[in-house]
Amino acid sequence: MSYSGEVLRGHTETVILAILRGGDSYGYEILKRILDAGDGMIDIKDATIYTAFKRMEKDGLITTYWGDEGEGGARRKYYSITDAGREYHERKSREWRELTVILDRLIGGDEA
Amino acid sequence: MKEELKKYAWRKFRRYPKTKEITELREELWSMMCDKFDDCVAEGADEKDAARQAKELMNDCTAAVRDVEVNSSMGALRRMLVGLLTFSAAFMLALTCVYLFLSLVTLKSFDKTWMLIVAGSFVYVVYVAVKLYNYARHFGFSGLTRVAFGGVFLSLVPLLYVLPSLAANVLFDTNIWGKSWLIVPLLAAIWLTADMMLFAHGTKAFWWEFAALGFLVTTVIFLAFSVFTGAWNVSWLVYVLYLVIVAFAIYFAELRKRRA
Repeated sequence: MSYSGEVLRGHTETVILAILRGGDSYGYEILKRILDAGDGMIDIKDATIYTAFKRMEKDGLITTYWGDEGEGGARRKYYSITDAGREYHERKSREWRELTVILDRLIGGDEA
Repeated sequence: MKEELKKYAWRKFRRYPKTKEITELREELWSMMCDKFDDCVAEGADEKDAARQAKELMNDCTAAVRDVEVNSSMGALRRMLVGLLTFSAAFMLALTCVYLFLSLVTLKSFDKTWMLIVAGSFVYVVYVAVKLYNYARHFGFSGLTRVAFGGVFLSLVPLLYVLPSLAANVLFDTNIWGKSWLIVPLLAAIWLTADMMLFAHGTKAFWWEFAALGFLVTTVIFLAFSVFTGAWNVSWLVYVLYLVIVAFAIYFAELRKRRA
């Protein structure tokens, strides 16, 4: 089974922030970590990721800086989480935990 | 191979204005392509396959560019408008110079040379419509693209209908207004057909196709009837009949849908 990036809708920012809590990272690495964590079942587009980056930067959740030129002259853009980003992530994680408990109760199906 | 990827990325972005945000997006997507390429090679893919996979990252770059454009206070639109303003000034200046030269030096008369200004203005209107359409299409604004596409056809009306009729009248003293208006339904028919083929998808597609096809059939009936009978002054009523049929069809379909 495969899911499009739609399943992450509304959570893309939180997912990215969770990755950035572990340290600064760049676009492709973040994309790859999401894909790897999805065990190949999540197909997220780079445009979705990029759009989320821009939105988060605008909202002050992350900051960016350019890395050095690599082979061929390409430069990576690095992202790092801000204090506002950490707070946002904590709040969203808490909401997610509460929501999953409720949804488990509603959808669960174990007792049925 | 990295150079090839760079050329590919640059080619994908060549139609977009070089605003700061769009240039940054291009740089970042290119670096992502390079990372993807290296990753694929490290996993054992050959360079050709790795490049193909890397290029796939650019498949939906229009969505990213559109998002950048919307979130950067329409920087590209503003740049396009400034460019258009500059072009307008240069175009009008050049047109005025040609007009004055023709009137004062070549023909030594202002009698009919004003036609040049009219023609130039009509060409200019088409140019602006095409520019707007290109902007909407490149940035993937689907609604605006469709409207601008119609705008291009609308802008052709003065150029293809008014100008030739006016020129025939002013320059050759021939009145063709009575027949030249046929270019308008013809343009409308071409526009409807093209619009239907390019944009009409989804729930409203059926009604759009129905209306467009009906319009084409009406035009054929109108022309055939008018040419064979010569009753041009009456045959236009067939368009009224067409509109009535379309209106009734839509009304009853809506009524049925509501009852269901």
